[in-house]
This record gives sequence, C-alpha cells and structure tokens, in this order.
Amino acid sequence: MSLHLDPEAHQALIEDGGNISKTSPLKMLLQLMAGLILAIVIMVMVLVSLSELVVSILPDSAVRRIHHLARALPLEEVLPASSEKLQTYLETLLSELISKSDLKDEDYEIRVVSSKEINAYAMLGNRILLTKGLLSKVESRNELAMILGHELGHFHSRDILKGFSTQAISILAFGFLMPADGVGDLIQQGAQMGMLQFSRNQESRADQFALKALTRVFPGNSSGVTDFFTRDKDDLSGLAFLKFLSTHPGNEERVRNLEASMKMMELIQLGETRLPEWWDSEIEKIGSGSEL
Amino acid sequence: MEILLGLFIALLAIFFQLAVTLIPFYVIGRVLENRHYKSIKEREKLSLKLPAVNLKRLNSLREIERTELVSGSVVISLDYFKRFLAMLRNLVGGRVSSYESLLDRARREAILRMKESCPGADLILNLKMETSAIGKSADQRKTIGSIEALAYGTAVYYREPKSREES
Repeated sequence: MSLHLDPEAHQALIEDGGNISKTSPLKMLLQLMAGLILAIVIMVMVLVSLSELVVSILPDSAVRRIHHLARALPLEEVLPASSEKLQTYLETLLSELISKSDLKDEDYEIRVVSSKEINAYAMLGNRILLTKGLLSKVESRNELAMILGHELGHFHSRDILKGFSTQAISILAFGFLMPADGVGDLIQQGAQMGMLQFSRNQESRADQFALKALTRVFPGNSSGVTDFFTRDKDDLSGLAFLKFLSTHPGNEERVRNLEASMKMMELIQLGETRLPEWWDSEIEKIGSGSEL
Repeated sequence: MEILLGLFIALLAIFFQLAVTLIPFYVIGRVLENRHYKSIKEREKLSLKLPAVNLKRLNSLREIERTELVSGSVVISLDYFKRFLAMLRNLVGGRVSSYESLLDRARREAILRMKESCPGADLILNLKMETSAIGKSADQRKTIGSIEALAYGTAVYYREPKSREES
C-alpha cells in the first residue's frame, strides 16, 4: 500500500484556509453593535414605560405613605439651615408655592446643605435639599421660587418614585438576566444612559410646573425666572451632542422653553424681585462643613 | 421622538468611545495574525513532503527502520477585539468567527511543530489533536483567555533501500 498525496490539492488547501469564515470582523462588529443598540432602545422604552405605569397607578395614599416612611430615615450629615431667618424665609416661600399649586397639602421639608456644589435635590420623604453653593448664586426672589417650584414639580409628577422604580426594575432586569461580563456591563451602561433621556423630559415638565406656581403666587411679575440658567453660560457650552447625554436639558433649551410658555401665558415682567437684605450674610453663616 | 433621538445618540456615543478603544487592539491583533499566517503557509508548503495521516496501520512494502512518538504544541492567546466580538456574538448566538482563526492557527502551528520535530521522518501515522482552553477562562473578563493545541503521532522512518550493486 502506498500513500498518494496530491501536492497541488494540498497547496490550494494551504492558501485557502477553509476553516475560517470570510466575513470581515469589523463589519461583524458593526452589525452586532447596531443590533445591540436597537435592542437597548427597545429595552429602555419597555423598562421606563413599565416603571412609569407602576408609579402612575399607585393611589395618592400609597405615595403619601412611601414619603412618610422615607421621612423616618435620618439625614445625619444634612443639617437644617443654620439660620432661623433663612429657614423661615425658605419655608414661607415654599408653603406659598404649595398652597397655590395643585399639590395636595402635605408636609414638605427644606434642608440646606453646606456644599459648594450648585444643586437642588428632591428626595423621597418630601424633602428638598438646597446647597449653600446654590443659595449664594441666587440673586432674586423669583429665581429662588423657580428653583423651589422646580423641585415641587418633581414631587407633583412623582418623578422621584419613577426614578426609584426604574432603578428597581433595571436591577431586576440586569442583575438576573444579563451576563456579568463586559457586554452585560455595556448594556447596563447604555440602558442607564438611555433612561436619563427620560429624566430630561421630567426636568422640562418640572420647569413648567415651577413657572405656573410662581405666576400664581406672584401674579403680574415673572421677571428673573430664567436668570438662573442664563447666568452661567459656560457650563454647558460644550459639544452639541453632549447635551443629549446630560440629565438636564441644556440651559439655553430651558430658557427657550420657559420664554415660550411665558409668552403664551402673556406674562409681564416688572422690575427685579429682591431677596431680603440679610440674604448674603446669612448664607455666609452656613459654614463649609460636609460635602454631599 | 426627541427622546428616541437622544437615546440613539447617547448609545452611539458610548459605542463610538468603545470602538475607539477597540481599534488599536484590532490593528495589532490583525498584524500579528497575518504575520503568523504567512509563516504557517510558508512552512506548510515546505513540509508537504512529510505527510501526516491518521491511519493506524501501515502495510508498507518498504521496511521500517524505527518509529517514534512525536508531538508539537502551541498556546495562542485571544486579543481584546476578538474577545469583545465573541462576547457580542454570545448574546445572539451563531458562528463565533473571531475564534475560528484562532483555533485554526493553533492547530496548524501544532502540526507544523510536530513535523519540524522529526525532520528525517518519512511519514507520521495516527495523527491526533487535542485542544484545551487554558484556565478555562477564555470567555471570562479580566482573565487571560488562551487555547492550547497539541498534535501528536507516530513518526515512521523507512530503512534506506540497499542498492543492488551492494548486495
């Protein structure tokens, strides 16, 4: 018996490498990624609408109960405003806004944190957190009322609960279903980014709520409501598409939206609304302790 | 609608960022793979005169001087790009073509090394191949994923035919 091997056939086999797919890996990467993006978009839409549905069918009494329970959680690092005057002023303004809005008469709490960061938070437990940095930037009463009204708007449309339920649902979805490797993380990251898009919508809605509440409390003078957004122009002037990544709509967009609504509501702008004279000195007293 | 657009752009941004980090690994992996294939093809052509077959018995007319066990093995690692592609593929299923070339290279290289270990042999019988994932971590994150291919067989040395003049 002899072994006959055909050298030509062998040569061809060597060159061909028949065990490898001919598809270009880059093309495959693009295809798979496009599919993944589509899948994430659909997933996010489903998750968000599911969580919004869950929150929207909750009766008011349940929402109140959740906030009531959350109020019991201590906020140790978050001290109440150091100044009685400031605290009273903020609380009065807030209760005026609440009384004229369609919010149910509930117990809201304002806390001031001694953080340099410029931010305000609406928290579970009907709590509103203002930072020292924010208060020191505020220059008129209407600006402050807009900020408080904005946070109230979040309570009004149950945005905090929606955020929590979206988180809970996505933990369920990603924690149990997704593989815990690089791609799983990627999907999670993408989905979270996607969910932020929905919170941008909520921010615009809260702005509108604030504007309405403000015009009811101080009819006839809506001056200064957009001041807060126009002051720091440089903070969001980066690449245009980066705005899409931000949780809050770009400041210009907010100003535009607000001005459009003001025009529609035929609001007039009289002179500047003043903060009390003691404002700056009381803000100084807050001290610079804990950061958020 | 605006939300959808934002969603798409946000996701595109993430993937673009990712693609930028992947491209250097793709290029490096590609260059190394092409270089390896070039060497494999050249050496395969040279080794054509030493056939390796998986026959167990050989009823040869020629006298066999001796046989010996020969083997060749190689360990080849995944690159970052290939692994990423495979992870994406794992989500939907299908041919994991980014691993195909990896295994192909490993098997061919192992056979070549086996053949090169016995340059004087006339034939390799009973060729067998084994493949294993090192550390069984080829699909796990933050661990090195590599495969080993082992080829082994029986090298056959024929006795030189005595010329008629000598006898």
